[in-house]
Amino acid sequence: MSGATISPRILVIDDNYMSVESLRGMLQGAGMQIVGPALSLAGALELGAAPGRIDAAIVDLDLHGEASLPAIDVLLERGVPVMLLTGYDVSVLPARYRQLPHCQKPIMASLVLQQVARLIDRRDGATA
Amino acid sequence: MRVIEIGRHSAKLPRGVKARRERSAFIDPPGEPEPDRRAAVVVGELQHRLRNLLGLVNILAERTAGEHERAEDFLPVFQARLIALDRVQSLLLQAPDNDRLNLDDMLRAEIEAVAGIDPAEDRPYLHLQGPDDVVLNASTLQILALAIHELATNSMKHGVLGTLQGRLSLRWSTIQRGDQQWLALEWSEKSLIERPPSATTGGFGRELIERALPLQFGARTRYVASAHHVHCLIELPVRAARSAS
Repeated sequence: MSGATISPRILVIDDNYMSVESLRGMLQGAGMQIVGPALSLAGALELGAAPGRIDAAIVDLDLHGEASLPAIDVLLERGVPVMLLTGYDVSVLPARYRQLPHCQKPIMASLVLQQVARLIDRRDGATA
Repeated sequence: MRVIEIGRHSAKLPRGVKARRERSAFIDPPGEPEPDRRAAVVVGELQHRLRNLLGLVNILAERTAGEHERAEDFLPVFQARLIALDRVQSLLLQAPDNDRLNLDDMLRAEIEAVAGIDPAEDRPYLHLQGPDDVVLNASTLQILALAIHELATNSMKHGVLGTLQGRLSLRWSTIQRGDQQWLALEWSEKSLIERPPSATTGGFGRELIERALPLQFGARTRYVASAHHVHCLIELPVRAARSAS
């Protein structure tokens, strides 16, 4: 845990203000920083490609009726671990996204934090 | 410390985004679906909406708990917000196209429920005026209704709706700007009785107006409150009523 003193930076992509604020509360309460949030696909693509450290991303699948999959691709390509947030059953997703960790809405703080911690650990393990 | 400006991308929302139905980008098949498939789409859509609604309730609970530590303070505020949300849901279910609703139905229902009066009746202190054909979609109405609920509740506690002194005017109209139609909704309250300073901060209602509506729906808003006044202007991009669908 060499990175223990640096607070993890979590990109939040979600088109719902209330949901974003809920995530903000949870993540900041756990000592993490929020990157973004992006509330649209255009914003998500921009933030996903922007320079700067992103330790993990929480991504809502539906952004005002647009699928966020292109943004997920950008993030996965640069090695950012992604957690999906969805009101849908993930079984409708193309296979490669189905394997990503996900949280169903309504989200529960303890579950989200647990998943995010796992994502960051996995990334630390991979880059160590 | 706020790490990153939350509003950075609000201006980049595509035009008309708020008027679009919330729909699955994954399960909506192109063209006319087969009956079985159609049923699956409807169920999927319902599931999606229900989860979104429960998500909203979840966050309302979090928010209200943040404002009120004691259970006996929490409960009435939370229940009133929940019931406001239920009112919009009921109106939406009664609407012919149950994803969209006339704005004035929501406004009148909210004022009536919070203040216990029929806003259609003439009252010297209350004035509602606007076209009856402004249609908004479900997700916009939910947030807007919660905002109006907060303004009305605040007015019941400290303002015109409670004291019946002064004047509350609620006006709305549509404006064309370029190829985009906008709704302008104005809450203008002038109270003869002074509000305590603690009642001019705006709280959750102000947050919905100043942050939720702009970020989620591309609205432009203004909120000003003082001892005798609450003035709030909300401009929302809307789709022309009953356009082709």
